[in-house]
Amino acid sequence: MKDDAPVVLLVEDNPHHAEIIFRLLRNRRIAHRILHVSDGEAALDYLYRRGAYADHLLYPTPHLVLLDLRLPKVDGLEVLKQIKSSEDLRSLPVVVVSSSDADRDIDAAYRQHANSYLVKPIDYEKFVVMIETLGLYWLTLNRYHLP
Amino acid sequence: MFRTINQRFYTIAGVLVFLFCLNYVQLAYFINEESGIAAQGEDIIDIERNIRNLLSLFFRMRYWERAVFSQEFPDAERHFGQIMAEMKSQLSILRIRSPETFISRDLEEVTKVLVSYEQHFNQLNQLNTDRRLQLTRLESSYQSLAYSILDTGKLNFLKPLLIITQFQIGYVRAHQQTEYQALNVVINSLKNKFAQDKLLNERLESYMDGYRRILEEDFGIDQKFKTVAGHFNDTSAALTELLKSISGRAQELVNDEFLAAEAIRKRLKYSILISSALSVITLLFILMIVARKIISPIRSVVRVIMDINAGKSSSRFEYAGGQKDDIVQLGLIFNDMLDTLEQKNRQLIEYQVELEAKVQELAVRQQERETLIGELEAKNAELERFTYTVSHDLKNPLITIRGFLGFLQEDATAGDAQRMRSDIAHITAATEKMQWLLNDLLELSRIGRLMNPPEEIHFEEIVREAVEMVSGRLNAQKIQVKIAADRHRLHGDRQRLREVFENLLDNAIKYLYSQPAPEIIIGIRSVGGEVIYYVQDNGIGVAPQYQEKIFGLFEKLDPAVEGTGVGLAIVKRIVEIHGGRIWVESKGIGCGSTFCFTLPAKFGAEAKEHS
Repeated sequence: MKDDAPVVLLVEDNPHHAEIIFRLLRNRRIAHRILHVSDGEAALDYLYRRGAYADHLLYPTPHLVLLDLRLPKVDGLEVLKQIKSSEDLRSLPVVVVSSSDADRDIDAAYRQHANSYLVKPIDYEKFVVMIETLGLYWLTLNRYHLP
Repeated sequence: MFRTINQRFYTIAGVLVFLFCLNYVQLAYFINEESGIAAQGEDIIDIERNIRNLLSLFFRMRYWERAVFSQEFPDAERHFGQIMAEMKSQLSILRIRSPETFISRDLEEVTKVLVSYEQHFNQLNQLNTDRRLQLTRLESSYQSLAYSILDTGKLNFLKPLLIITQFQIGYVRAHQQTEYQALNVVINSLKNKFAQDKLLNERLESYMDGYRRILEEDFGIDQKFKTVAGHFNDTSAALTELLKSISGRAQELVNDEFLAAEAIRKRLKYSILISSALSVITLLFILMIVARKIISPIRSVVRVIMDINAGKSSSRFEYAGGQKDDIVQLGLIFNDMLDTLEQKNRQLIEYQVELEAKVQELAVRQQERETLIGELEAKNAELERFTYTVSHDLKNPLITIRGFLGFLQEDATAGDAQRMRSDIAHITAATEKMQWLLNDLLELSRIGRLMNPPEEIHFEEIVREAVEMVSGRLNAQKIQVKIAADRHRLHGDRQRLREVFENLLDNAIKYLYSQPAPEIIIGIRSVGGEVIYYVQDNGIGVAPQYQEKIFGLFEKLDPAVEGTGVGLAIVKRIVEIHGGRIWVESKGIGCGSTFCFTLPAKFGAEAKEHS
């Protein structure tokens, strides 16, 4: 495993959805280092290296954050707002992956400076294409510089 | 008549001018009368003064008359003449000045008497002169006789001579008849003596005769004088009497005139007084008419105007009299105007009141509409949120199912049986989840739609029913439940209220898994007269920032905990439908939580009355 292999932080409260995304990323060899947290508070703790996530080696800074909007404790939008208003985390690409295709949610996400907004498709093939395209674009083509 | 102010004004002005003129005429008449009286009085006084003057002249004349007779003043006769002339001229003036009065008649008499007086005076004066002359002649005759006798030289004749002398002195002094006769006798006796003695000669005889003749003449003159003097005295007495009488009567006349003038003046005074009084009364009458017919109605109108100005809108012009003149008409028109105004004002006020009522009604309606709109908006927002949440949460299991169906196909192709079982398990879980969601949604939608009629519920009883429903899980987790022994009664839908307690218990049980000595307390407390029902646990608690969120639909703090996240949403909805409110009290993680709710006072109050 190379050190510069992309690290993806998956923030998803639904364990089944998390499993699907995890398996697709892993099986299609898009990303190997995928870390999953199931609520907004845990996501912020991870990014700020608080509490259980203090270990840098175990919990490295992600190259990409896949963020669900409906989260227990701290809402996805709130997590997004905190990331984008933080001097250290602002440059971190955040892709919202939500089951909601409501204009309200899309607009709110972009207002909080989301880098992209993706809707989880019900159709499995579309889900696969979406994850592959996401991996190709954000993890292969896209250039990033870790803060 | 006199209906207009103009007519009244000119009538009153005319009456006033007439009165004025009348008074002037009267005054002129009075002055004229007065001057006439004064002139007459002056005339009479003048006449009286002239008469007095006449009288005084007369007395002065008498004085000079005596002076003339006494021969003491040489100018006496001239003075007398002057005064006589003056008297005559005065008399003639008087007679001219007072024609045809009693005075003029008297004056005529006086003139006549005066003429006779003058004649007598002249006569007397003549006689007096004659007498003095005669006395002188008698004296010279006596002397001649005496010398003749003495010439005889006979002494016996001396005695008769002496007697003659004596008698002559006596005679001259008094001109008495006795002396006159004595002298005659003496002369005769002397003559006889001379004749006896033959001494009588011619010369002697002529002397004696001469003497006797002179004496006789003298006596005659004297007698005549006396007679005339008697007449003269009578005349002068009469004249005196007459003048005095005239003077007295003139005096009386003056007095009468004075009295008459006084009487006339008095009469004039009374007439003036009466006329003035009449004028004053007429003026007062006019003033009264002016006051009654003009000033009083005007004042009435002014009073009404002032009243209206002061805000007393009910004030009206009042006029008792029957005559409707200009001002009364004005007042009546003013009244009509005020009536119209008041009517309009009343109408306006009515309109205003109506309008205000309408505006108020409109405002109420507007308020109602706004409230309704607010409620509708809230409902709409809630519905939107609900639809959003539901679509989102129903979509999630679908994504799971399709996802794992895809994996299942791949695993089947790869022949990985273990993976296939795991995939199927995931799919089953998702379908179960979906079933719960659908059930919960159905349940939530029933609240408010399907309600049982409200009834009185015993607190402890309903709590025990709820505890019974979850007793299996309570026993499994060895949770202690304490129920406050309160005979308080609730009022509402029995089934739903039991559901509230049941769901709160269920919620508490879910979060008590980590607690070694789990405990739930269900009780009642009263804060400020409000009854608060609570379900308290010593579980993990709720951080302050999530205390509002947990009541939302499909909200779960811990994704690991079973359930759809609908339970607290259902509880909130039931409490709110009963008109109460719900909240959670917790000091944070690890401190346990207390779910509190109220039901409206009327439910509690009614329940207390029954208990």
